[in-house]
Amino acid sequence: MSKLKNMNINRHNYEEHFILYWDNELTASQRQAVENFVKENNDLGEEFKLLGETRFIPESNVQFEEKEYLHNNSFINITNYEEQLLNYIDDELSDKERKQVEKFAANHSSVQKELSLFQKTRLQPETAIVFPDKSVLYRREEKVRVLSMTWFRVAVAAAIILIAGFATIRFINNNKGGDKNEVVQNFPSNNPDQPTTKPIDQPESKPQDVANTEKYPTSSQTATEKDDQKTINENELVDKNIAVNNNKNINNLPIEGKRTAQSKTDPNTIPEEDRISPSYANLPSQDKSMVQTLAIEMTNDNPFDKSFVTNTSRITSDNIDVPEEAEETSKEKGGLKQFLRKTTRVFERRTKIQTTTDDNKLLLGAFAVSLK
Amino acid sequence: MTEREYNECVNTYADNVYRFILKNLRNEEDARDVVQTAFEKMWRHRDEVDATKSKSYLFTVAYRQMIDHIRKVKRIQLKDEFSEEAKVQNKPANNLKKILDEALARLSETQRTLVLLKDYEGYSYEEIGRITNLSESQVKVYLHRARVQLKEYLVKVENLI
Repeated sequence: MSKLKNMNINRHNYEEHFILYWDNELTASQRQAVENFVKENNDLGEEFKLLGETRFIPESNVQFEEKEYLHNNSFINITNYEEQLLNYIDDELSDKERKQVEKFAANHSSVQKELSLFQKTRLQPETAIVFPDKSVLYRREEKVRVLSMTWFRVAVAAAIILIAGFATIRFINNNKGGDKNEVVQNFPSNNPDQPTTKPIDQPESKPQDVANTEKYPTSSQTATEKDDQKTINENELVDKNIAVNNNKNINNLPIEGKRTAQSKTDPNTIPEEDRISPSYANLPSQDKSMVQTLAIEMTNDNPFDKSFVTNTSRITSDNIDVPEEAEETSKEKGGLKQFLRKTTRVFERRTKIQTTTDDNKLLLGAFAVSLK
Repeated sequence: MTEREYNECVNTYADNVYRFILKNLRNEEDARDVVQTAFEKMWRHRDEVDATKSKSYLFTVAYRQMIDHIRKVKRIQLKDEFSEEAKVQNKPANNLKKILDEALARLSETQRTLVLLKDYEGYSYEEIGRITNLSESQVKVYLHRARVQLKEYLVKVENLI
């Protein structure tokens, strides 16, 4: 400015002075000098005016609305509105605050635009995405049922097992005993198949031969007593032995003697025997084989009594003996197998649990016990 | 938490957790493993879990599981991520959902987790903080930054179109 003071306005430097004039940068005297210069040079008056018109004059109608948003202490204002928009999007505002944000956005189109953009950034859960196989996630409290066992329970369980064991053994033994009885009781009833002993004998023997006819009933009666069973069987076997021997040679005295010694014979015995032996002798030639079949039947009926088998094997020929024994043992095994099979089937039906796995493995003890 | 409550939890939240993990890991198999492990953990600790808080417990466990998983396979995944980003740049998608998915993929792991927990499950900053072991204000700052980033990506893509 100090420069301009001394400077004269001329046609070469007037523009700078004009701008300074309109920018209100000149002192009053300088302004006066510029005005005088314009008056002296009329042709430059137009340019001077034009420069003056380029100035922007504030429009009075442009006003800042809602000046409260400019206050720093307001909830939402021009400096913090973005944060509030984000809180609004994230649903972290109270109802009152939400309304304020909505009002602020409604009053400012730029803010409204920004808000809608933020709303677009919200991700929507893709319901199409689901966990593929939920069954792998499900759980059950216990896969195997665990019985908690105190010493008392263990004792009870042991007692039950022992009782069951004894009961089973008794049951099996009773079955054996039953078979024995059956054999003995059936023995007379076998006679229809064997007409040799009684049916033939009885008609031949006269009514006074009561002793002989009584012998069989008495034997079957005593057979109910276990202890006598064997001896009776032996007696009867001896009878058969006699029969066999009678076929070979009649009146085999040593055997008769043996028999008398065993059965404590009365005086009738020998004549009876004599009477019987002819009856055997009178039999057809098939008698020997019949006696053998009798022996086989007996062994079949009494599969558990080995001593009996040996007795019969003594009577029957050796070549029959071996297959019989084999048959007997196989029967015994078969019985046990069947018993197990039946138990398994009953167990399967009751519990609906397979006792074997898919690859045909037998499951044993499919329960767990925890000792606390 | 009883057996029944656990199994109900499977029915109600298995899909949500799976969605959350899958969006983060972008690998179905890994996501399934993480979810399965999370449920296993919840089952093992069912006595300590309050049934009413089972959801946030589940998300917390699954989130930690996921972080462990990411740490384990980070080196292997890094390559894949780069190639995926390259793909994204080559093919600008033209619908909002796709654009958003791309934008989401560009966020950091933490930011992505926060956005998903907020948008998918509607958790509050406080709850998100508990799940991710961050303070509420940290959650707020990370989440806001993430949101602004997402918005800028949208604007950019919209301008391109």
